[in-house]
Amino acid sequence: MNRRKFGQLFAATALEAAVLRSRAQTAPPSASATAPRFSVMLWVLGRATPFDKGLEMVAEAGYQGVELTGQFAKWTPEEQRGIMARMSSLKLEFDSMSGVRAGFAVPEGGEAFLTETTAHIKKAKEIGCPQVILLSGKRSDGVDPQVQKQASIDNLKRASDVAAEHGVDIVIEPIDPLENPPIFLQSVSVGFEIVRAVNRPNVKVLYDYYHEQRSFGNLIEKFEKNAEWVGLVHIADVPGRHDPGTGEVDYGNIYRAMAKLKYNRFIAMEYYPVGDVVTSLKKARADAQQAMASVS
Amino acid sequence: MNRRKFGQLIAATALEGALFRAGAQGVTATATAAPSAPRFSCEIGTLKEPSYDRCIEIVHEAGYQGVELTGFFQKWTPAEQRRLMAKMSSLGVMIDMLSGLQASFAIPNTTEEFVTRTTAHCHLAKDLGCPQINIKSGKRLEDVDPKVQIATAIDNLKRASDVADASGINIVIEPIDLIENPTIFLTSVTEGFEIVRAVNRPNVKVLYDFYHEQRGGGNLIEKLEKNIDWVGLVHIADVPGRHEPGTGEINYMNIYRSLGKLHYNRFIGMEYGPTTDAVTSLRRSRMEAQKGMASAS
Repeated sequence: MNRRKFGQLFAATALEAAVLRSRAQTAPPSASATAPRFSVMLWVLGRATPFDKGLEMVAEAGYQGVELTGQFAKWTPEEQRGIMARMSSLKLEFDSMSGVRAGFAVPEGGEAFLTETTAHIKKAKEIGCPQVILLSGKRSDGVDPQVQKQASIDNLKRASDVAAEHGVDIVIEPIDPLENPPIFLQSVSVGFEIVRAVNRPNVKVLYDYYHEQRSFGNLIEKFEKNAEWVGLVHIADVPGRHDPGTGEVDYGNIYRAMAKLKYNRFIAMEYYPVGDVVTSLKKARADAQQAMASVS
Repeated sequence: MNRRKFGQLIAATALEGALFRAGAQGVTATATAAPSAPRFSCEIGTLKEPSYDRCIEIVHEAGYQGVELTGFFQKWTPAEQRRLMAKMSSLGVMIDMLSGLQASFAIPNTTEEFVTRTTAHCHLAKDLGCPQINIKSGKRLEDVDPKVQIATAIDNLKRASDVADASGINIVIEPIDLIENPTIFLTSVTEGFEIVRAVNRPNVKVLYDFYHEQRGGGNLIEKLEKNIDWVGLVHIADVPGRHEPGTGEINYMNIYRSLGKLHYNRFIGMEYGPTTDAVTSLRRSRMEAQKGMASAS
């Protein structure tokens, strides 16, 4: 190897490492790719699918990300190293992870929320995951919703500070009351009000079209009015939470609306595949890409 | 003409008369013996076409059997009405639902006026050969418990059911989304179905407008499946924009497939602003609906 080749090789390796770091840790908010990438919320593959097998299926379907609920809690350091190496060889990253039990909308719950969220953010950074998903917690009987909303804003500002120190983003996720009757944050409408009031670049809304459709509808208009505050979208059809196309949501037009507004973050599938998992995920991704490409 | 042929002719004429009455007036027939496939109608206010003659021609050309009215009929002279009804008859088009009633069913202490106006509207509908009228709830009252408005709605609709039944008319109640009407009481089919179940009359059902429901509530198919027996009419438009099915976020093919699976056999009313030529647009919407429903079997 001559000096020149060595130099090239070194440069390439350094570049590769830099790209890997930027993809894994710092890139998303400021320098996200121009086209959305795709990920899968892993729990939908079911407990019968071993973790490694799940990763392989997601990679085979042409996805770049996987999302975690609480799987990492049980990993030994050695297992974690093995999983991260496997992820890297499959060119996958963890793009978002949930698992914080404390809710941000619980008045008097601020300290517990912040402690748990801080630990979660550190874990995210450790496994190269640039974004954490936070939930509101329960609606408190006898408490004015405005009080819970203000608690949300205060708690999320503090969480934003901690997250920013570690270069991590936050998305807050509304859940429909059919799935979770006592939850406080049910609609993206209120979610967007909260993140606008928090007003930090690293606190946005996880727009889950399945949850929103189950209780509120009007999906496209709400997306259009709040696109810059959407940090992540989740995809499943209604009813049934199966593949896009199996229910009442016209995802072709949803994707077109997203492309018109130049949505360029992750699109995560969170549905129970009806048929073969890899075929289903591949089709869901290809359908989304085709619809988005149809917007010029 | 021999006696046998004469007898056949009388029988045929009598049958034809009976069929015409059943189609145009004998509302009980529509309720109990609806045809097995849905018919199509159009809320013609959406056509932005000032000529009623042209409206019924458009609807006929698109292969529809019904028109729904909010306006127009108030200004007709008796002679004009006769002429238009004859024209509709020749085109095979009927008025399948009449809106425009200036009375609200969920307002306490207005029962007498509500019943009087509803009675008059039923008579008008019967005159027009229209088997179904649309009634709305009126406003949500700030200082009244919603339960009181629901109880009022149930009582008033029972009275309305009686007077409608006397004229052989069916009633549909229509929820409207809060974006369109921020002060309306009945905003979702969910409460609509609760009310008609409590009223519990065969001639009082819900107008399930998928556009309004999608704007304010979503979960369209599940609510349809759970309440299909109480759906008197469906209205179609996509969200956002209230244009043709296919222009927005509702997957109407799967909505139609559900209607097909549930053996829905009443009118399907298009209530959207066409983005292209009205006849072409309406025809295409009808054919897509028929294809979607046929795919259910």
